[in-house]
Amino acid sequence: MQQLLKPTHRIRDPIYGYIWLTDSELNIIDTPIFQRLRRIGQLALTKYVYPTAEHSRFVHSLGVLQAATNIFEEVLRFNPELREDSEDSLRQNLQLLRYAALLHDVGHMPFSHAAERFFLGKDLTHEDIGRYLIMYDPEIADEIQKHNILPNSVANLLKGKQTPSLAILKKFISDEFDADRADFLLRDSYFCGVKYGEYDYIRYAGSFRLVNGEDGGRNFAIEKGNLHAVESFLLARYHYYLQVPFHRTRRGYDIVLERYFQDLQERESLPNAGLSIEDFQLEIDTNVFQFFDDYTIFEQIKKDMANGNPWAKILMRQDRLHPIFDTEKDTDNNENNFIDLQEDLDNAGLKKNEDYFTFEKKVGVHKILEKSDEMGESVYPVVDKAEGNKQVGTILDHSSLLESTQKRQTHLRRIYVTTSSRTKVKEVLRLFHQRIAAREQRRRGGTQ
Amino acid sequence: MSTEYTKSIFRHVLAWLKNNNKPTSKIAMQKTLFYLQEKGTPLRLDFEPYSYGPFSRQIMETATELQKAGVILVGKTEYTPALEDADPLSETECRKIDAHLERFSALHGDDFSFGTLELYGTVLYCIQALKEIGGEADTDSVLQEVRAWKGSKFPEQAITSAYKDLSADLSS
Repeated sequence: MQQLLKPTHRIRDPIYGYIWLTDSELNIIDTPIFQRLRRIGQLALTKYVYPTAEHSRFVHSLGVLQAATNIFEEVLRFNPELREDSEDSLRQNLQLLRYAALLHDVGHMPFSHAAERFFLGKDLTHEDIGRYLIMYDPEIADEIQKHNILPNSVANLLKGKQTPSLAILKKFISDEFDADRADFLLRDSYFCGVKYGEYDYIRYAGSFRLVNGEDGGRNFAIEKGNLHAVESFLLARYHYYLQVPFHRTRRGYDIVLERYFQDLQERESLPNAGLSIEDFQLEIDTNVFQFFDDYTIFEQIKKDMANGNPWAKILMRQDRLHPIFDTEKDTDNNENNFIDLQEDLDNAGLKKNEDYFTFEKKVGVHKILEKSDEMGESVYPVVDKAEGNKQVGTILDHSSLLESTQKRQTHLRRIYVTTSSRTKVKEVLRLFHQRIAAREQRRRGGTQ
Repeated sequence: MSTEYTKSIFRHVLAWLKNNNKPTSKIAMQKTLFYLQEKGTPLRLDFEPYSYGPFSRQIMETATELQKAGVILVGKTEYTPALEDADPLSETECRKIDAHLERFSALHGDDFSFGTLELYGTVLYCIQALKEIGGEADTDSVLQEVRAWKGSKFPEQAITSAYKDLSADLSS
């Protein structure tokens, strides 16, 4: 990278030591639209669980640029034939990749995913906002164009169609094994102060090869000797998801955030984000959008708390939801209990999404099987350096761990109640647990 | 989670393939739905260049949801309608979609074999990708992109022929 792009600016970073940047990248970072990411938390209200999780989308975006560069460099190192491409072409591809990595989260809403459907509707995502900003924000688009790169090419690496000659770059930043996940696992673990999410980054970054398919097209592949690094990455991600974004308490705050946004929407009081969406056509007033951040929402929350809004009170951490049901294993028993308890709460006169809330999510170790193609095959080839990087099967052929976990998923089922409902819930729970105990006793009696 | 509209179109296309004695293969569904979307059907599917042409993971997810609902069966390489129920689309919508389906079928001479679908899907994706990133989608650039993706898998004549059919169709 040093030779290809000659970066002259370095920024201290706890994960990589230094992140090196070019003048052009620094110009993009200094735009108001990119600086806005300093004010969008990476992990929303996770800080109410892990108090040091105060880092932003801004630092994560710099990290993804660095991780994408490292993986690109490692692929070049282990695929010497790629270095035969002209230096201009490699430089152009690396710069395109780094712009896309840097800008991959530029369209995120405050508090990230919880806010999306309220501000963007059901058809758009933060990636659509990011695409728009990359293509139409003059400061960003002009800077990219100065380097003979089409802003559309950068935007389409995040969402949209890529020409096949560029599609391989997308795998560096948006795939099962990408720089985005590579960075957020390490960074979020570091800032949360947890070990879930850690893995062998250096080995992982050097795990991938570009191989020619039977007919000459290029594919991404995993080198056999690095399978354990890749397995460790996937296990780290699995535990991270359960312990950070799907942490029981954090999920409770996400539920309240969504409930609060719904409340704002019903009162037609959602803050102005500068977005207009008509017939799927998006327009963004960047003069407004650049100031639309976590602080905008918190200002509203403070006002609403002063006016007695119960959701705002929770978001100011003066109250909370209380989990009363929490299971992980996907069993009929857990499913029946989950449904039964909701019925009991309904029968006691409690209202769903007012007095009690549910959360359900399946979390798997990996989704590699789901990635199978029209021929019913897994699409992650494994190559063996001992055989001249020849394809020797797929990742599921070589990893017993991944094969044995492909159909096993954790199924989170949770029920939370508000503080004001707890008195009623106490009696419901007493009867519910009594019934479960009686059922268990009957089951034991039947098996004797 | 796929939209009800996407699920309805999926079911309609699968029934159309079956009723017209075409293979109800996964690749037929992937490439036909891709064509429909490129012709303006608002399916909101993301396609990416994959092993056998443009591929949308969301179609797989839609199929899984429909299987859970007991509407279709998902095999290793094909889908099968499980119910002979009413078409989920309105009559007007049916006519519009069927016109596209007949056009798509005619484009490649009613040939729904794996290789033909892969070729037409790949060429269509390359044309649209070049246009989307602001490039020129002429014969040479499309040929170059198909080669970058597929190497020497398809003869030049087959690629240029598919390109002519598809570009004429897109501009009609």
